[in-house]
Amino acid sequence: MKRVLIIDDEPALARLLSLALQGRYDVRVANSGKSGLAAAREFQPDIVLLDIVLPDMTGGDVCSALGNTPVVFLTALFNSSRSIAGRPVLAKPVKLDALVAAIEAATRQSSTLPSR
Amino acid sequence: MAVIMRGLLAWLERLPKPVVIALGVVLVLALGALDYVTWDELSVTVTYLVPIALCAWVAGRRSGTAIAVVAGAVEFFADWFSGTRYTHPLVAYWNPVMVLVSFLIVAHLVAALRDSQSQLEQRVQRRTAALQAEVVERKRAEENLTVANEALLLSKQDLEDALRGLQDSNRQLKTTQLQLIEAAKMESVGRLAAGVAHEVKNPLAIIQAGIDCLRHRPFDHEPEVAATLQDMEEAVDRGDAVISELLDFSAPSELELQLAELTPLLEKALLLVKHDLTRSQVTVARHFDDRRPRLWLDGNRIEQVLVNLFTNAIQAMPTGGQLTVRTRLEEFAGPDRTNLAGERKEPALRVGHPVVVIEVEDTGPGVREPQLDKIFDPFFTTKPVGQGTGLGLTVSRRIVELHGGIMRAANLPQTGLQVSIRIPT
Repeated sequence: MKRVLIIDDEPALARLLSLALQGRYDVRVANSGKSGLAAAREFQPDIVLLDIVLPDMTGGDVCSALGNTPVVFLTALFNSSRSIAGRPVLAKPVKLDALVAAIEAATRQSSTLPSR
Repeated sequence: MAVIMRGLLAWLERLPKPVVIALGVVLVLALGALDYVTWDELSVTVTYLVPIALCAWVAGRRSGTAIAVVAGAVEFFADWFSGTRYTHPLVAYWNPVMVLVSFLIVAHLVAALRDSQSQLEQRVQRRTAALQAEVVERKRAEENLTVANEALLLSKQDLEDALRGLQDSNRQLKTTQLQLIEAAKMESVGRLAAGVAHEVKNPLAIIQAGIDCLRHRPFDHEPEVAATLQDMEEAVDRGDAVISELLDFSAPSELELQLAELTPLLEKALLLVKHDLTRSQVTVARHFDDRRPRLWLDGNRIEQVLVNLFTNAIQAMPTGGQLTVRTRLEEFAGPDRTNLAGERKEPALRVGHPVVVIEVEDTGPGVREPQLDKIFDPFFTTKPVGQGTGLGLTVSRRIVELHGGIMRAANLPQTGLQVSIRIPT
């Protein structure tokens, strides 16, 4: 089962998303950039769902600290499906189908890359 | 007689004075000779008056007096030598004196007449000269007046020109003011949207995630639960649509332009509203230009505009009708002055520039005139509460304007609304 790490400073959103994804994925949750990076080191996720606005650091900083780990950005800042730093972006509110599709697409892409 | 006299006088006046006097003396001597020869049978005495009067008139008082004295002497001696004898001694002494006095009086009278005539003439001349001067003066004044009048006319024209210039700049100022107001409105709405979006989208995301959690649970099979979840999801969609349009409205600034054909875009947009078309029993009439125009556009943005226009058209025909979509290539004919809806700005398009025209027509009731002016205004909507944000056409027009094009709306002659887009090729 693929491991998914959700980093979002809205505890309710992170919790409900993990509930919705449970069963399909092994999900872990963090509510700040630092705790998220710590969780990533320990949990070794296949993909990180990353909020752009975080209390302690920006989503961009977290993303570059994560290195090669695939990232899907979740944001409430804008609509468009444009990508940030080559990573796909989903606009909140996001529907489960779209989220699962994005996770699958991102992890499929990374599996073709050489492993870490 | 008068003519002869005037001629004679004029001739004499042209002669030098001594000549005139000499002629007078000659005439007097000739008359004296005649007096002597005729023995007093002729009344020669009276004829002496002619040279006296002529000299007095022509040569003046002194000459007249001189001739009179000469004539008196000649007359006396002519009588004396011709042997005329007066019987009465009183006559013998007094006759020459009386004759001389008479001659002198005539000379003086004629000279006085001549003087007063000269004075009169001089006065007339002076008066004439004064009148002429006056006429000249008046002419000059008239000329001055004409010049001044022309100058006035010129300055009147200048003033009228200046007034027209002022009116023009006033109109431009008003247009600019309207544009500024609109820009300020847009900016404040944009700031508001960007601020609000983050705070609203997160709660919506929580609700959506909650709905997704509750789905596929055992109690989801209960019809009431399923319906409630469906309603909640639709509510989230509605809220999200408003926020999304607000965000589009605030920042539709980046276009990803590609040279693309228009027809596939129209077909794709029609496909996206296919469900709505079927539900409202709306048929589609396609009139696409055979030349298959290609133009630089952001496919996603233009698709958004088209879907927006199609959705509006379908919603205007809830009980069925016809959606007409037309494209053609033409040269831009200039701003439409008869219908200014959607054209408050001066278009970026130049007259004669080749443009692609997209016309979207419905057979609905159209939009009443006072509202037609406002349909591009932010937050203006004719739809029922909850169905429209009032931002769709505003955003659509901004997207078209970002493509360098213009968007217009007009009621069709019979019924229905036509929205047209012109984008430069």
